[in-house]
Amino acid sequence: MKKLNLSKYASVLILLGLVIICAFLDDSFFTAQNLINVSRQISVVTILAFGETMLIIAGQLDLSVGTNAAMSGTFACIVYIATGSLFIALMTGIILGGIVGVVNGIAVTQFSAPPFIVTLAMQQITNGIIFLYTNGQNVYKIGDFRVFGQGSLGPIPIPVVIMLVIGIISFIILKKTKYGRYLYAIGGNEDAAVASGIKVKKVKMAAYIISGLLAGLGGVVLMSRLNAGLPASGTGLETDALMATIIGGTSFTGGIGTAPGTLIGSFVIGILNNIMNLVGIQSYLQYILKGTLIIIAVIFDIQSKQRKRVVRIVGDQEVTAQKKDKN
Amino acid sequence: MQPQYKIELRNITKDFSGVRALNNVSIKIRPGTVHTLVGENGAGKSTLMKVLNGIYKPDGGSIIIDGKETVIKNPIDAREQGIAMIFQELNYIPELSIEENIFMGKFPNGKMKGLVNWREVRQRTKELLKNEGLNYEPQTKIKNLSVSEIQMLEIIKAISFNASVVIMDEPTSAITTKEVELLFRKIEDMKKRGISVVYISHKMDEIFRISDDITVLRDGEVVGGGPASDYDDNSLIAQMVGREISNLYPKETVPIGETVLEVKDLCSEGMFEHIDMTVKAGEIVGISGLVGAGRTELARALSGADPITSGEVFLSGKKLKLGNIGTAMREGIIMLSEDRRKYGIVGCRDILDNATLSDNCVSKELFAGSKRQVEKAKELIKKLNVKTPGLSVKIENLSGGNQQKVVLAKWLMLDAKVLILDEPTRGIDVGAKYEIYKIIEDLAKLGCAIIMISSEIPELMGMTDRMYVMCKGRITGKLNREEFSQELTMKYAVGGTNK
Repeated sequence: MKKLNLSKYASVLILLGLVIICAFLDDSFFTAQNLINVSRQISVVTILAFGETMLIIAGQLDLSVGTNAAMSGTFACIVYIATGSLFIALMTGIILGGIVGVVNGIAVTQFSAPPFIVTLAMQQITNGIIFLYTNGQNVYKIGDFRVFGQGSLGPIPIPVVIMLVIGIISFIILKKTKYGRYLYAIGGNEDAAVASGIKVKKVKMAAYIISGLLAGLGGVVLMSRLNAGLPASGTGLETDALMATIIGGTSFTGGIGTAPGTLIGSFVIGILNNIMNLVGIQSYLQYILKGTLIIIAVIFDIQSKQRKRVVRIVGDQEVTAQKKDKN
Repeated sequence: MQPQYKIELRNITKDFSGVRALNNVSIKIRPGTVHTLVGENGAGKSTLMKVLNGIYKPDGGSIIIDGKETVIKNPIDAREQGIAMIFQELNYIPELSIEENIFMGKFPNGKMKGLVNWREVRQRTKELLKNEGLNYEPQTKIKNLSVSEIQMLEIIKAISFNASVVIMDEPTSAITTKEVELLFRKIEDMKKRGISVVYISHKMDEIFRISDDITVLRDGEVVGGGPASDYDDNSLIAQMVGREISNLYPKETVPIGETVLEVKDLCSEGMFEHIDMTVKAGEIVGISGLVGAGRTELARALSGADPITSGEVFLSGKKLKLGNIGTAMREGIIMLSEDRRKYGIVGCRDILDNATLSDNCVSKELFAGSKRQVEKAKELIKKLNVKTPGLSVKIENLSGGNQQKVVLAKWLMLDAKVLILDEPTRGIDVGAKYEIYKIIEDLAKLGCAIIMISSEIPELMGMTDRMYVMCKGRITGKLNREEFSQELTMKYAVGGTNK
């Protein structure tokens, strides 16, 4: 009999456990309305997290997605008020986000700057730009711009639809396309990727741009949900996106991770937030609990890898052992 | 009275989650001798040494040091009991100095506990270096030393711990011939002082040169052993692999075709200069030379990994634009790197991912993992005899030889016209070596033009049709198969020129 590899399904198990506990803790948890609420609440973070997942799989990182979303989203509101066109406003948000991605990508790939520092700096820059432009004032009266965050398609909210579409696209990119294979190879062993003929710089560049575009899109949905362009609303979103990615099983050292995993990771955080609110846990305490969870997830990830390493030393015999398991 | 054996291992058994890695292994090591462990990869040599070094606890059996039964709790304990291990991958901190690395973990206390008496550290390091005949400065950073210099340092570090047994795991895999001589002299010196050396190696000439005793392991059991004088190449290899390999090199006569690769006056500043060479279809051409002669650099330039300064390369008469791996790959020039871990495998991904990596870059299909790709990968894995239950096994769970075969499969997914093999059998056991030679021979039969780089001259003499010898970035000698000799090759390799 093949042994079930628990670590592979860790995030699914955590999610299931959490759902069961929550269903017992509060009656109103397991209602369609509440679950749709949770989905809507996690939509923005999840959209950002899909971009982050691709980057982390390639051994990269983008800390600027939160403030980039705030900047792009707020500008999209301003453009909507000026033009009255939903399409132009949406495109403005997405393209602005993409431009930030281009800058990140150029700094990392052309000048070999460390992603951590570049994107941390970009966090400051994007934050500064939108505060400078708006003078720190919120942008109100966004009218129909609300549709991206508050509209719905049948019973399903538009932001959830957007999240799922992006999720499916990310899944296909990572699972099926050559580009996805390149991301895994670069994160797993960049030297080998270069030697195999992969154009590593281009692939990384594209991943930063994707992350930027998704931050722009996320920003549009965010402001639309909040009913205003709030320049300060992006702070901390990158942390949530990173947490969703890591809890979803993406390895911080690169080379491993999936889009469905990230979606699950995002649900874990969303449900955790939801239940903590439902049972009335004080919001400051919520931060501590969330932080603890991510540390546990990372320790779990590392522990399961170390266990595998011990067995690997036996070499060929390990493979024979797996063979026996299968029979 | 001095006991007869320095260390005795009695019936050592070790299991890893149900897999028996060592089964009733008994070994006796005499003081002041070199005891060599041989066996294919996965035979249990490294596991055994890790038991001796306290990294693993044996599940059964006993360890007797100087006639007394003992338990080795961990590597620090092993060190205190006089056992030091010099790993294949050396343990050192590149940014720290020689003295800091030597005294790491046992700094003498200064005026207060927690402070270091640097004067004493310097003094003792100087003495140690002087006594061992090394003229390094104690403050030199480790990163400025060569692999062999660091190795020497590791050895004298072991001696400074009063080690009476030094374990060396393939110490010559990354150093030059000249440095090997230095190492062997040091080993002789250690023997004279009564230190026992446990030596692990795949290289036959080395084994017979320095060993006093040999123990052969296969599948976790001792299958033979005794004084080195009882063995020769063939009997040792036969015992290692458990079958007779009649001929080490499966060289056949292959019809030689048209010139495929022609290199004219190729230069790369600081790497190599004025390289002229040709390779024909079906031909295996060797490049010999010492480490640092520019062989790998030439291979990298031909495969587009490094830029060139001047010169021309023609493929079947067509001039090539070099400098890009992708372009070279599409034209059919492919290089297997000498460093499998660094440039070959993506460890955390499975066999299929690794095998199709380059094919993805070349194929025009929309998605990865097409039926054609999977079928072809399966076929190659079977043809190359990779020991695996399936394509979805992580490559890092395979042995070195099997990993190398998957990397080869990656390249054979493409239609190679010129195949450059840089040390294709480095760190691979005898059985897998033979299989890889056979694959190379098969490729030659298919009309591939093959360039084979190796530091082992017998390997080149066994497998190639012609040989170029490089020294200091230039070709200093050309040999046809009839002229092959170790002496001549060495003469060219150290700078002697063609008459």
